[in-house]
Amino acid sequence: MASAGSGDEKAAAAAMITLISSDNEKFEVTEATATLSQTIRHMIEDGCTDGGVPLPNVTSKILARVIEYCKKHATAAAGEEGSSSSFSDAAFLEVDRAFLEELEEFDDAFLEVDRATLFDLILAANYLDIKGLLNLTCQKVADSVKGKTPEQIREMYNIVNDLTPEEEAEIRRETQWAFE
Amino acid sequence: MESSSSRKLAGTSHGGVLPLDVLFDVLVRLPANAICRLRAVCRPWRSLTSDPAFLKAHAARHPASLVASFRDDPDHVHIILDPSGHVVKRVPIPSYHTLLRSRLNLIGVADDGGSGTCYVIDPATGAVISHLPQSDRNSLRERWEPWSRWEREPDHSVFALGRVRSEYKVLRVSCLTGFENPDEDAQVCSVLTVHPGGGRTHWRSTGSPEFIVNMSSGVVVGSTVYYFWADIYTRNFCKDLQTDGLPKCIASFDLRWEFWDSVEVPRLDLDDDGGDDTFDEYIDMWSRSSLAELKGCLVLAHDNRRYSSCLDLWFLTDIGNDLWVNKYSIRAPESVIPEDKKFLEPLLLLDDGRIIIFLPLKGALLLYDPKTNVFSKVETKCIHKVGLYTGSLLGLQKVDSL
Repeated sequence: MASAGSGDEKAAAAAMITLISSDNEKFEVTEATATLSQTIRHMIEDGCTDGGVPLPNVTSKILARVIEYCKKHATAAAGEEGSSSSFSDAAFLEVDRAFLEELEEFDDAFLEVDRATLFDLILAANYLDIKGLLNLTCQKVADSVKGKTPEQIREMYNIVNDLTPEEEAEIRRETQWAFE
Repeated sequence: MESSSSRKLAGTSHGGVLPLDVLFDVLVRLPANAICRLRAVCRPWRSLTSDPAFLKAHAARHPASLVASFRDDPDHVHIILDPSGHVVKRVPIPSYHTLLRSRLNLIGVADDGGSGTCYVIDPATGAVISHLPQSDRNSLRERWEPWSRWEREPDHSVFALGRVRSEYKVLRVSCLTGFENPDEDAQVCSVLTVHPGGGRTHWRSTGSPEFIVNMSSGVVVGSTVYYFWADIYTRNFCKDLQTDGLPKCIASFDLRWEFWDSVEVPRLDLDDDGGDDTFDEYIDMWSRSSLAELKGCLVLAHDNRRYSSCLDLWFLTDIGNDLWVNKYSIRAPESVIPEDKKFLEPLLLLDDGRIIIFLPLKGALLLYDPKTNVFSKVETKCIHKVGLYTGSLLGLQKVDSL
């Protein structure tokens, strides 16, 4: 990890970024964690993170979850890089596999949220441009509609059917195979 | 303009909503059958999933589906939604024609009897793009006169369909069998161009391969067709093994410039005792290898279970330098993949890293996960021939007759 050297507090402090949620809560995170977000990475590169980064689209509740995700994945990334030189290939592969398994378990647990939170996480991931998180959450929603009928999907998401019966019949006729 | 409520995935009581661009990201991950069902949810979902930009993004994410003919239904080919095995569409084909193995948005079917007809069909509409006539027997006869005192007609032909820029080309290799003398076997080749909108050229003769190719081994990779040489020539190549490095055991035909060439095979892991039995080992090796295409590469599948207990998939990663890389060593028991001359054809590499494998002997499809070395069966009827279809399943039209 980037903050391994505890003696060098200045360097560690310099690498901290403050994120400010829409409800004005402040979160201190390392640069390694924050830069999983491409949006924040660009702000750091442009030197406009002094005094904190306001994120008016993200509530403290959601930001806390997003940071939790980024911390875990930043650690995993750093762990992989660090270990490659100090292990033999076989040992490295084992460590690698353990990391991946742990990360998968973390991701699964992370997604155990209600639908509103999941949608908010997607919006935050989209706004902050965090590819891994966006992938993870979008796939979760996609999986939840995959095997469903149109009726079930409308019910799940409170969608009003504005198609006429004729239009709906036509769609079903055109792609009958998909409804079998 | 869309109304504001239609721009949302849903207005839940928590106010959780997804804007259209995010909904796009979500839905593009779904398989084609799920998307066709979504079109019946509401108008905004229908217009989003019918939008050309969406179709394009979906095609990029789901690059190919399987197309197969079943043994109990020779008059149709079936587009299969993989890996579920669900039949998406049934397209009629002419009787006594078999599916060509290709990876295109069109399919070819050919008569594997003697007549040598071939059709190019668009599975989206079911329309026949081109009906390729039988060979021009006069030209074949003339060509082979000096070789033989007898007039000979091809007793069977094989076809390969590939794309060259915006056009399609069909290679036909016809075999003229020698009378009781395999040395008099000969092959004659011709090429024909099919225009995507319909229309075609006449067959034009092209050079014959240097030796006789193994007609059942063909595979198309991009705009090149590959075959093994027939066994008898492979034996000769392998004799030179110790002196000249690796034998050029694979014949290639470049559809673009229409010429034959050959490709060096990879150095396969045989056991180390070296010396005298290498030749026999190589011969043995060729009896347990097949050619395939994965991710735009030529793949040599080699059943090496006698020596290393693995099935190896070698990828030709650098064509110019004949550079092969063994990317997969598959541990499969005999009960899953039987030992046979045509033991397996890897077909398609999925997004999640799994590989769809066809077992010609069983007519079955397997899903292989290299990360866990787990095999699962794709539920389909018994398959005769299989290829890939790269067209979008979202644009398929219903067809009932040819």
